[in-house]
Amino acid sequence: MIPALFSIVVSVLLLGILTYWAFRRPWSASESRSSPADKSKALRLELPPADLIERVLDPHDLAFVRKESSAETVRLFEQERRALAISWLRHTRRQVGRLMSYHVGAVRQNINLRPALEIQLGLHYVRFLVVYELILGLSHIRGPFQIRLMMGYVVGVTAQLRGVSDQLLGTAQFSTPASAPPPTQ
Amino acid sequence: MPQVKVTHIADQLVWRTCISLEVILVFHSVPVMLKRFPIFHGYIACVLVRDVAAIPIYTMWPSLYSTFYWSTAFVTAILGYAVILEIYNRSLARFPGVARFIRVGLVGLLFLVAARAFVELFGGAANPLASSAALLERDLRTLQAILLGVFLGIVSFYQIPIGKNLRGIIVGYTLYVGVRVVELTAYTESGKAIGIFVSKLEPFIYLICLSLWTLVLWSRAPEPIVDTVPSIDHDCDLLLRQTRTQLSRAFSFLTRTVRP
Repeated sequence: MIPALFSIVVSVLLLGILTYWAFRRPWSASESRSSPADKSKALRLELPPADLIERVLDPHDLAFVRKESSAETVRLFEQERRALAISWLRHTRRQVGRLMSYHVGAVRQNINLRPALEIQLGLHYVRFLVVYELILGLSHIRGPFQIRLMMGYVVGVTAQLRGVSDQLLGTAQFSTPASAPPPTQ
Repeated sequence: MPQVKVTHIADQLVWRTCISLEVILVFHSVPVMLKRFPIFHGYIACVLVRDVAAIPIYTMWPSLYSTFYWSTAFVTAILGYAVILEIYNRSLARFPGVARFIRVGLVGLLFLVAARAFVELFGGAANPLASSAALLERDLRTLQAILLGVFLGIVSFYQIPIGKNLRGIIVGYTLYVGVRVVELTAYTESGKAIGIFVSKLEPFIYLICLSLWTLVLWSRAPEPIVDTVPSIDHDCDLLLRQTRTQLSRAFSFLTRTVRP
């Protein structure tokens, strides 16, 4: 019975992977033929100024709105700020996704690719995605102002990503400092 | 009784349509595609010979049909491995790094299969591989399903571009293997009544696969062109270390946020 169950699970998984693979965005020749400069541009991490997001999630604003406005206004205020926080999280997700995309594009033709380390890297990436989804869920529960510290981390992550993209590309054109300082505890 | 007759006619219709498509596929595509996918076309040619040979056996010696069916199913299952090998080779010909990665994975997988066979042979348990032709084919097809799943996972992760012809072969063959495993599992585990009911699905799926193959292999599609990333072409280790470090940092930043 166990081998039969195993076979069924394998076949269902296979058909699931096939469906994903068959219906995903097809490979684009123009994308592959893009110049290194285009790829560099794709890796550019464009952030709004860090003090802007600090200002958006300033707890004094919340205190003021709570003091001066009705409950409905407070609800709308929190809703808007939550949307901003989530958009920042998604932005980080996109940056990491781009980095991984660039990495696999670069190493797939390299004969020196190390399988064990690649598997380790893949597992790191999966772990990152799981935690990202977890925090995304928590942001809905805890509210935007309770995850304010996270915005600092997001800025820090993107700054780090900018750093690695500079190193990867070996160019000076993106060597401008990140728009925000590294996060602090 | 009329319903049984209608079912029989439908089965015959599907069977003969499949043979017609196999003939079209082999005789139309061979001149164009033989050099590109020789093993796949050899596989289809073998299936065609089997299907044509099955007609007189089915009508004149029905008692021999079951033996004929299962023995040839075993042969085609073995040939299926050659098709998968061709899929691997054709897809990853220009990606030696990923090909090396997959080779390591395949060695690991073969080691696991060998270990399982060793345990079954010397562990005192009954050997399911030899218990019946259906079980044997199910195990062979399950291993094929794993190989194809690993292949699709890696191809997706590394964004390997695959041409229209090969893509059609992969989609059709993977679909067929997935459904075949379900069918064989139902046949061997659920008793003949349910197994035969489930097995009615397989010819239709095979018909869909053949139609897809005929369509995508009708003409030769161009191979996708891939560029390398020149600045880091020779420094894979550095790239790997940097990417991993950044992922770790991103992860630690995120986890810190959920701590009280």
